[in-house]
Amino acid sequence: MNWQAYLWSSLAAARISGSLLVRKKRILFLGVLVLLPALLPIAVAFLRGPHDRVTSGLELFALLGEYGFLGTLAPLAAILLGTALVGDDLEHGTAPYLLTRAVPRSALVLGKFLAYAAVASLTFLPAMGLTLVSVLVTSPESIEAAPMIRLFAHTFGVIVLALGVYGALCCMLGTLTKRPVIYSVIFVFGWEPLTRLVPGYVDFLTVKKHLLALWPVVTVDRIDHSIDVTRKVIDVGLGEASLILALVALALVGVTTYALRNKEFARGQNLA
Amino acid sequence: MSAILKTSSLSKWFGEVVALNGIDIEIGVGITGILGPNGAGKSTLMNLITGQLSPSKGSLTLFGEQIRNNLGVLRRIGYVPEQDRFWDEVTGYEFVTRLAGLTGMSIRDAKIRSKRVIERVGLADRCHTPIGSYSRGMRQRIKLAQALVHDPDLLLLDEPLTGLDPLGRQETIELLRELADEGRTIVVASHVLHEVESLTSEVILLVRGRILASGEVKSIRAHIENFPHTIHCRSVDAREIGKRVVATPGLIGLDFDDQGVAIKTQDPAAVYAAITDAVVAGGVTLDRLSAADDDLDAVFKYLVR
Repeated sequence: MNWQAYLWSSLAAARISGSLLVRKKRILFLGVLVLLPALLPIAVAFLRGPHDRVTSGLELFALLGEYGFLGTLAPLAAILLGTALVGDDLEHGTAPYLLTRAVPRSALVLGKFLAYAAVASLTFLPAMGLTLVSVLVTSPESIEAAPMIRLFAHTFGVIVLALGVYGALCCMLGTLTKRPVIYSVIFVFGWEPLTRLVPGYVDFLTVKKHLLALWPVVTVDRIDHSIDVTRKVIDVGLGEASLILALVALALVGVTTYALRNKEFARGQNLA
Repeated sequence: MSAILKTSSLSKWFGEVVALNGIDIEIGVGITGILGPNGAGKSTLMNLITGQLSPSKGSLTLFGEQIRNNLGVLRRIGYVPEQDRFWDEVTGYEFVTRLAGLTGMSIRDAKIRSKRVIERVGLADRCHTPIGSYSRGMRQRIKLAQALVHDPDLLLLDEPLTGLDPLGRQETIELLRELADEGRTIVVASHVLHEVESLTSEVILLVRGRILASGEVKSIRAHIENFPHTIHCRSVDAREIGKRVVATPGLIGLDFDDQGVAIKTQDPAAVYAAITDAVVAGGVTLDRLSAADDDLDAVFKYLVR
């Protein structure tokens, strides 16, 4: 297959997946969820007392981004949408239409993945924009436009990367396993927080560690008051984090492609 | 005749379940039927031919090549699966066009070909409504459309007539005959003999993963015609029914029980006529009449023994 035909195949796979994703009820659910951080600045402004410490707008946006969009919503989006990319076709019996066609498996996976990335990113973009507006409106001090725009662009870029890596992981789990949502939840909301309690380099085996390295507001020394343990965070470089995340995403997409090529699917269902 | 599809000692098992056992077949141009009861291995064979499964033992070639992950071969296959599963929110037109695009066609080419093939299967007036709103017959036709859109040389259909009304069946049969006349190779898997017989004279009989018989339908039909048909009548007037059918030609025996009577005959048409006359004339009530599939399984058992 020449590169043009390969591109058309990927595009067709993207169009199939994209049109299905936007029609799913879960995208509506996700759309509502990602709007929640926009309400927090309003709530904070409303509940703030006259003697309470005032958080700056930039700091608040970065915090909302780190704990809201990056820490919770991006992985959740990946679980909701990524696991369904290949998994839904296998479970619902529509996979034979795809797997019996002369389409390179890599083109199929690439197209589906790009559709997911586009749909998920476009869901987050207005929500993050709205959160930014909410922060600006309720901020007690005036904020210059340029640093705010830079911050927004930076954080959105990291969110897109987060959606990509977590999405690739969930897509792979959806292809290889019959319970991808469970395994994804265990990884994101079980393994990743757990590694923060373990001293040393264990937390390098998480996606979040490397994403946080790219986040615009990162403190080197962080004391976790909730468990009363002083823990020094071992830093990971910007370049290193970016490379690792890109390689991990590529590897996960590669594993998904390999699985689709070599696993057997009778009646479109995973025989594993 | 050079074989398009060739298997050699083809076997497939899933754990301890042997789905296919030492299958040797050669299929050439024209329509070939694969006939067998449920669980015979027809769908497994279809999954192997379409590359969804790998053989556990033996070999399978299509157009002289291995199938699995072979894009050149897959390009020449059109597959109509048995399952009635779709992306229900998508329209028929979108369904066919996007699947066409997967094979590397440009969007423009995919649209042109899709329009053509949708018209051919007679769905042009409904192709812009969601597939979820389609009748069973329309869903079968849109499945056929997606299988034809890339102009395959080999068409594989798994139970294509299941669930269709008589008109739908006739239309589908005529379409398949037209496609075969165009030089395509068509393989139809079914558990209903007369459906296969209406399409083709070449049949492969598959039972419990093995080839039981292959060749002309006439010779297989002869085996079946020698086999006594059993017609079950559930009725409180079983004795009266027995009296009415006892003189029909080809009657072998009557077996009464609490619920009715089992009529063994070599001429089922005469028995049906006699029962119908008895019900119409009055004096006989009939709760249930059954035959057909039961007989088919019995036929297979008969041929297996």
